[in-house]
Amino acid sequence: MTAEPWHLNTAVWQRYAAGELDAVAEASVETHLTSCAVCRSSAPETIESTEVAILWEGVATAIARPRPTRIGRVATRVGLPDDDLVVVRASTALYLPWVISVSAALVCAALAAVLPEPHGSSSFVVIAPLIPVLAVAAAYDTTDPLRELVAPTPLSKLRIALLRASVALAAAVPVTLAVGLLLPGLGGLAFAWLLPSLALTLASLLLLTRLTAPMATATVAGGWVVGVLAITGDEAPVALGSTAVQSTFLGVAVVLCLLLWLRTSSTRLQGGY
Amino acid sequence: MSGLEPGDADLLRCVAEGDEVALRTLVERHAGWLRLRLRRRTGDEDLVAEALQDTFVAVWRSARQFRGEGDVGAWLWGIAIRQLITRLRRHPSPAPADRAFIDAVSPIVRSAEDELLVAVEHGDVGTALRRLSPELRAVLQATVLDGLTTREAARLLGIPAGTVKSRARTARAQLREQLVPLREGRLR
Amino acid sequence: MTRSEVAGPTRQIAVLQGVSKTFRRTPALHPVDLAMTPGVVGLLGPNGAGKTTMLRLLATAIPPTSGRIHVAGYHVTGSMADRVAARRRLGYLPQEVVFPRGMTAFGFLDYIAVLKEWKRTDQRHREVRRVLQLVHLDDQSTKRVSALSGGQRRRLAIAQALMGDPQLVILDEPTTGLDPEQRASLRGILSGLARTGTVLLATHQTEDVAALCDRVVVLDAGRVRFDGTVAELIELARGQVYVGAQEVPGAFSSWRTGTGLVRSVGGTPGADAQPVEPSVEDAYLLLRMQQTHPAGAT
Repeated sequence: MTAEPWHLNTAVWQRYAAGELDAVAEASVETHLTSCAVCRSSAPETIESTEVAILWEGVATAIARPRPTRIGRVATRVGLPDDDLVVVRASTALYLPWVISVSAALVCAALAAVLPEPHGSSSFVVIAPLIPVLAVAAAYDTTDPLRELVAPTPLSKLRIALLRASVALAAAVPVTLAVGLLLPGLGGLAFAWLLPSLALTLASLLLLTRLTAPMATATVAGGWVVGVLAITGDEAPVALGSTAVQSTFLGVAVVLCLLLWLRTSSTRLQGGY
Repeated sequence: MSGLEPGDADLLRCVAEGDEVALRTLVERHAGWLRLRLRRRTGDEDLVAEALQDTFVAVWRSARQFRGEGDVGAWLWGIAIRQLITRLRRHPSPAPADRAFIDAVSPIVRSAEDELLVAVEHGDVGTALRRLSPELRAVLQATVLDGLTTREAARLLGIPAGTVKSRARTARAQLREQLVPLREGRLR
Repeated sequence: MTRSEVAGPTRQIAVLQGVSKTFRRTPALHPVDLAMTPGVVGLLGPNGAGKTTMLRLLATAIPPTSGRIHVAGYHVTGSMADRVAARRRLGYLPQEVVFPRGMTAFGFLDYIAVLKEWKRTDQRHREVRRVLQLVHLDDQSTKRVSALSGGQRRRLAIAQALMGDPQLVILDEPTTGLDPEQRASLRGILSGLARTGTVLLATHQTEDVAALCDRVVVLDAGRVRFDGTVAELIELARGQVYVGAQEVPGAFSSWRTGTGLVRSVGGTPGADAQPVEPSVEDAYLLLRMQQTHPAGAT
């Protein structure tokens, strides 16, 4: 085969574009096009500039769109709407609740491991329910660098806060659970803190609609610690593990949930000003 | 390679560094012929449009992998055809237009400008190819011209992989049969 | 009949009635009454005059200490529902925007668009592309904000204020960091917006006011010193601006211009000084001087 350079002419181009060439000629044209920029650039317009513009808009949007992370994909499959996902992703302060919950859980573990029984388990059982509360408070009162921009926007600030709180909880609860399961002396009590924690978190969310984050957290934490120690003292693990107590907490949680729902459905409580 | 090629390779280098303007220029240069060629592989126009967009998105993401060897055109086509096949896997589309029908219907006009093209068509290889059935030709085009693997060719043509393999084998055997006597005939 | 008289209350895009704001015993804004109609309104004043406070109040970023505020026909100090409704119709550019780290230009606008309740992804992305093109940042959409220049970041911040074609666009020093070309381009965008809504911009640059604004409000120490059209502001300085070989004795302010002559504002001119057409800057200087030296020139 000769290696002479040859180029396509208009007639061939047109027939190729119209699909009128036979398979062999087509194959020649295509092989040639792959390597010849001259023909590609001197060929007649095969695509309208408006079509190119539309194509470019699609490409530009597709490359600029944030790539979905693994967690993001899971969230979408679970049913989280795309716009909520954007809010969660933008919440850079969410690293803070993660750090807080992990550190708090480690402190718990350290305390529980070091103290002799039953103090060890009591400490854990008293401190563990507060970890999610702390995580939620941290997510709620974030120092958002974009605060000035976010304030005048219509989206419910409460919605943003609840989204962040859910993510904080999703981080805090498994970590604390893991620590609890790893502690030797606890056994079944590793789960006993969950329901009280739920009640406490709901209580703090309710208070957060009225008070600032530090105030609400202090109230809930203070009340809980004082309450548990005063009522049960060192019997805390056993007392908490009993069915009666667990059911009470469940009941309390349900009531608080209802209250929270009532409070947030009034438009006054979009959150913020 | 002509002096124009470095333009494309340079553009790709810029794209690898995050230059959107360079990508846009690539789109403007290559969207036309890529679209035409994709259309020859499937009848579904929407699929072609989607594959075309996906191609340039893939170019954006993998520009760094172009090592500067070979043609940008070939690299682009490699991406484009694979994007089309990925989409075909999800939405199997009607078979491409029947080549035999087109062959029969459009006569090849021999004009002065077509001399060179005619030389290829009616050269040894051209003649031998012409004597293959359309199905065998399609398989050769997919595996040789487009450089697809057996599985990719199977998806493109809508036939089982085993059929692709056997047809490729048959095609090559037939070509060999035809080319040897032709060559020998010419030498005499 | 002036335009404001023809326009009924519903045509007033923003109304402040007896609005004041005090931060921890420091009054930033004394009770103010203001009403704005569609167009471009400039807010002039020195640092600390209360410009930013007024803008934040109108943007519903902070509540007033007293008074009522109406934006786009909604009573924003009255009910949350009205406030949210007004927020859907306004765009706000703060003086300083601290961008979260790691965000791209597109990602940032996507986030703000979600905050502005653009729920559907394809529509939202189309709007993001639209405003990026408006501020000529459409080929930087994948760049991290930290990789953008100061001027580009400012344009990005302006872009978010323009999303959704708001009825009231509130801009706090929008042209900081922009070169003359970009400033001109921004002016084009703003005049386009001003046809259907109101643009309220706080600025130090009297040229921006001169070029863009129909009305101007001059603030000083939390009070309104002037509220009227740009022409009326210029009138204040008519006959008090001179150009001559030397500074006019007793002038509030004078400087040598590029032509070699001296331009003076105020004072008693001698025979060699010619009165000239005052600019917005002259009038503003005069106002400021009269404020700080109310007894007159010395």
